[in-house]
Amino acid sequence: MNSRERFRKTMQYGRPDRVPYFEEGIRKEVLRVWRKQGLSSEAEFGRMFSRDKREEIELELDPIPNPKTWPSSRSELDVLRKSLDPKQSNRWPGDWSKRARGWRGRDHVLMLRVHRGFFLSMGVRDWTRFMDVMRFIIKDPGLVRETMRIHGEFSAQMAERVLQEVEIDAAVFTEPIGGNDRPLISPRMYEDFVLTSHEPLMALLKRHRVETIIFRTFANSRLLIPSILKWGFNCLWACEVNVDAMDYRNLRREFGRALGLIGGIDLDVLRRDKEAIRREIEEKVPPLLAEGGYVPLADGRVREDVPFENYTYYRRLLEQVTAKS
Amino acid sequence: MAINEIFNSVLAFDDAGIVERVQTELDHGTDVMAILNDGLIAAMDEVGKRYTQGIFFVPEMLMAAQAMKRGMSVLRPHLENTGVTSRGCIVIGTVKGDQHDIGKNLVAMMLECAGFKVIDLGKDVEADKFVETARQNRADLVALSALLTTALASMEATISRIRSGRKVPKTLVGGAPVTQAFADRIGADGFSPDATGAVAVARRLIASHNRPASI
Repeated sequence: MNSRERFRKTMQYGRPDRVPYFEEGIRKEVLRVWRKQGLSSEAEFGRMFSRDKREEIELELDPIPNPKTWPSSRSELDVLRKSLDPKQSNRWPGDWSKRARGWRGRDHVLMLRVHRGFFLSMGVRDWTRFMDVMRFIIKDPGLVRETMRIHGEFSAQMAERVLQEVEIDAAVFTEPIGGNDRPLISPRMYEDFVLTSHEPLMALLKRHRVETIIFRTFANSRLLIPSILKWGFNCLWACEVNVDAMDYRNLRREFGRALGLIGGIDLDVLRRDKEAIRREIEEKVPPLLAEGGYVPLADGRVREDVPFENYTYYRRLLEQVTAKS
Repeated sequence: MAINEIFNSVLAFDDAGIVERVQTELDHGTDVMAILNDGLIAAMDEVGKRYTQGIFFVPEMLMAAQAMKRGMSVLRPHLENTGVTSRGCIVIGTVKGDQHDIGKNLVAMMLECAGFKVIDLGKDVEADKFVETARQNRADLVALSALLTTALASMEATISRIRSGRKVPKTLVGGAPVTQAFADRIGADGFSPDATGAVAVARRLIASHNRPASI
């Protein structure tokens, strides 16, 4: 079974030969630190653990040119609309067609990132714009709705070009919306402003029979899960979470097979000790594997503060535990 | 016109109307402290309650805080005449290695609205900067924020650095990946999962601190 088949079978709650092992975005600087901790070479690292290659197509979804000031009234939305044109040649790499051809017949997992989330779509890059957007939500909700609608239609047009040429394994909506205790905006607001604007994208994904639609979120977005399920998402990938609030075992109990899961392993334990790692893996992973529809993975990028010895222990234990299950 | 209308203006996010209402109360000779405590601060306490109950989210909380600040801008010159000082001094910042500041800014704004003097050091702040600023300002509390799980080690190191000093202020931690268990483990005095909770924890910690609050 290749990585692609393994992922698809897993997300269909089938019985793959084993669960996919994705990598946690380990960069060269981490490997450099690990070289001092006993890793003999980068090549050796590549051979040490079973891995399933996963690639993500990241579309250029920002306005071109980037606006000096983001719209503060509906009369300013025309400028934004014109800067979100899928036909702009600089939105696509020169070798796009070659890449698209290369993805046909692949055996690795290919995901398409179709949306960058509410705040980036509203132009939030700093506190000032954040405050503006908070004000619009209360005082001018029509502006927020219309801005998101423009982004939704544009994102669907961008994704359509990809889907005409490439069969993907999952669509990813990135949504950094969570605070420690809850999402920054209410589920009602999220449905009104964001999920409604996803309608063209959801219709497109359905037309192209994209089976796995991932809500990749950060921190605590627990309250939004009923809403996203209602609007067609079927998989959660929660990163950098508050582990108590987003415990996947609880989510599985509550939402069952309606919600596939990627992640769920607290990255913080990898910084601690083997006992903490053992508890985390042995307590969390087997019950989730038993139900299926789960890809075990640390909930964030592994960085230099994770000792190589801990990472090795984590990956080997994960392989052992998943083999048993 | 009653103080109740000032209270209601905050809860209605009426940042234009509140200026007029506070001014009218002042013109009527209403006690400045009554306007502050029973109007503006009481309204923000109600905002906190509604946030805790899940009725308000961040947009409502921020718009209420904006209205409160507009009211305060009218009231502040009169407060200075009464010799009133803050409820305590808080140094706040996002720890070294983390460039995110929205959560920290939310907390800073809510602490200000609750009557604290807030010294905001911004983001990516070295441990020594927290220690030095707290010492220079005789701060009652140092509040640390982090969004990235990778900044948790930096938060722990900062707490350790603060606690190694001679006159140790209380410490409060928060941010998306922070939990009560983590706060306990690194020796922080307080933790809050949200900005309104941070106000309650700050009040409790400062009340228990050696230096008495002024109001």
